[in-house]
Amino acid sequence: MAEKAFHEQEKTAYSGPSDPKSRRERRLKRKAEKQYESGRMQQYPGAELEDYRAYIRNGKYKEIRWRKLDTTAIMYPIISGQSVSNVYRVSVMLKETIDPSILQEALDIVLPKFDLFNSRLRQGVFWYYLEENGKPAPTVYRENHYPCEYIRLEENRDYLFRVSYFRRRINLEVFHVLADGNGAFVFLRELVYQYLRLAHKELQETHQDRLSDDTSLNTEDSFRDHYHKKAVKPYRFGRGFLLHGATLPAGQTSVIHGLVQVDEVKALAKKYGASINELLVSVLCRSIYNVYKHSMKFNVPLQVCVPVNLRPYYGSSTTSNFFVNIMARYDPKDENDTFETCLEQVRSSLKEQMNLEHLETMFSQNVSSAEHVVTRRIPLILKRPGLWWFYQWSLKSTTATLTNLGEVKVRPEYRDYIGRFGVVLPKSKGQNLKVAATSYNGVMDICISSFFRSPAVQREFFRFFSAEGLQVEIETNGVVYQ
Amino acid sequence: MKKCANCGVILRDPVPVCPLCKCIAADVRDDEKWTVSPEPAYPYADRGPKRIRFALRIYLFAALVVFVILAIFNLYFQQRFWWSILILACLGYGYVTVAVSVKRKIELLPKIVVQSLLAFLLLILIDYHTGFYGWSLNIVLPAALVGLTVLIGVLILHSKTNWQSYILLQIMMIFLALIPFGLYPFGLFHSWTRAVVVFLITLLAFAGTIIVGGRTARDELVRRFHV
Repeated sequence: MAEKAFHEQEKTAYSGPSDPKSRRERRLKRKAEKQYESGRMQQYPGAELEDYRAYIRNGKYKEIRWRKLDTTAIMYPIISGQSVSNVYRVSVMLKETIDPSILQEALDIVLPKFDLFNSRLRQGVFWYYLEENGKPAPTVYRENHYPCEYIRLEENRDYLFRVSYFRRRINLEVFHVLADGNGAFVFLRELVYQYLRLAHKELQETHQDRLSDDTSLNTEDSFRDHYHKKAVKPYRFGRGFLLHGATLPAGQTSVIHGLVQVDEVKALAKKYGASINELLVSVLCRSIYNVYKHSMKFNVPLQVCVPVNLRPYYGSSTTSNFFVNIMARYDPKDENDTFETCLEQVRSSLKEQMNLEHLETMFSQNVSSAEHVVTRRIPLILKRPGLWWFYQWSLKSTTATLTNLGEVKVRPEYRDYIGRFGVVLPKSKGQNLKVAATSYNGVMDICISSFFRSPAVQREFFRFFSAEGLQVEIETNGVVYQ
Repeated sequence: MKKCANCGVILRDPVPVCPLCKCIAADVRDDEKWTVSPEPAYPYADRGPKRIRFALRIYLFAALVVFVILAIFNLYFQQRFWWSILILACLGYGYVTVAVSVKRKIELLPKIVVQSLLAFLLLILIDYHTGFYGWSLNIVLPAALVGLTVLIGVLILHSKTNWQSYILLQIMMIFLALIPFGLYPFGLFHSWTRAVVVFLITLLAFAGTIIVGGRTARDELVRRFHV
């Protein structure tokens, strides 16, 4: 429906007939044919030759579409670099070996349909912004680096994501400026669907190369659409306990996946009277406590950052960033604290923040600051130090991050081809351990990415579940064996 | 399939050691519920040596050694004129130029700007140390401004799809062309006419891009200056 409306809108801008009579129209038709054949014309969804003609207005001008960054994305270009990439990975494991040529073809077909991913980052005088890219899709390559490495734009045709593969897994690594995990999964799902349609003719015959009916192409800035402008009391997170220890050499990432049955996790959470999220956060807090309790001074709490998806609260279907970070808090008093105490504190701190008013307060403050008449007119070269300092100041409050993207839904006709989904989070300054959970087809993939040499926290984390009788399968990227 | 008795977890990696506790894992009967892959889940990550950074460190050390030797010569044989400082400045400029050039995070245009600015500062230093006859400000500065304006024009003509990206650089050149006006009251820049000509060249280059570029150029300005 969106594609059809898109073409209708463009055709009214230039209503060239298929059988041109005037010299000008014949000239425009020849020009469109040349650009179409040479491949220099940007591709648009379902584009045919007649559609390309609609884009040549007056034979010369073609508008470059652009959009502002959403409120969360403003920070990422300023704080990102080799050591803090802000590039996360969402991946899918199929039940067959990946064919790179088919994957590249699938990406070439799907990418032009997503305006958000078909973008490049530009620097304005006051703000960064996203602009239509238009270059051929980035080259799909065999994975040969650590997850979540910094994306070098000049090597990636200025695209802010990259697609790689390894054996049966397809990786989509996305710079956080573009989208959050939910938005990235929308793109990854369509990419996988297209790949499977190309690889399996029976799917191609029944479904053709169309986007799924439940796929969103919405890219609106939902932060700006839903924040309230009246003065809000600023929220403050106090200092949190920061993890310390010997770290891996620069550039290396240790990734450990723990696969558990979702039903078993639910039963365990029910046993403790908690939700899955509360259970996971509590286990993480408890694991950190068990490892560090002998060196703790017990004067600052453990604060785990938990991103909350705001889409269900506002009925938004945007694929760009729309989340807010809340802090689960665990304040151990001494070395003899119990897991139940930890769970109770985590549950109460999460419940305290998981209400619409509080969530709205948190992102309204950020949007209000960005929309302030003075802030907007400060040149970017002067804003950067301020934003950088604000980022440095906020680092002291977070011990670790845990995100649960929930169940990934896949259309029934593709389920037999897909094994599981996974998420890997990148390093942040001051946060050398992050946890990401996602589930599919009854299996939960809990991925712990760490930059410490010792897997002590991961050991405590997964031992908790195995001690409770859950069957845990462990898979790593090999760094932990060094 | 292997299981670690210490941790109670099943291992999918094709390695007999538990990654969590580093104990040897025992073989267990395969369970149909789980699909175990015999191959590793991740590839070997290629972290080849960073040759360029190593070469830069070698250059830095060599530059330091050369400067120390030349400074000693300067101290003992020609104390009136400290030419070793100029050598140090040239060596430093070489290092910064290479370091900025190989830094991939920085785009091409900022690299050109930074290196041009450093080259100009180096020439001012040389001028100052050789009697400060003012050739760096009165000849090199206007020539550099005009040269950069022409270079940007060539880049615009050469780039068919992305020429509008250079408009911001042209605006920056206009501001830089105001420097001679700032130096004139202090007697550092001698020719008012030359300052006006340079400024008009940069202004006309920008105006030409906007007029000939039409709506594309205007939309680029809207995007770059959006608040």
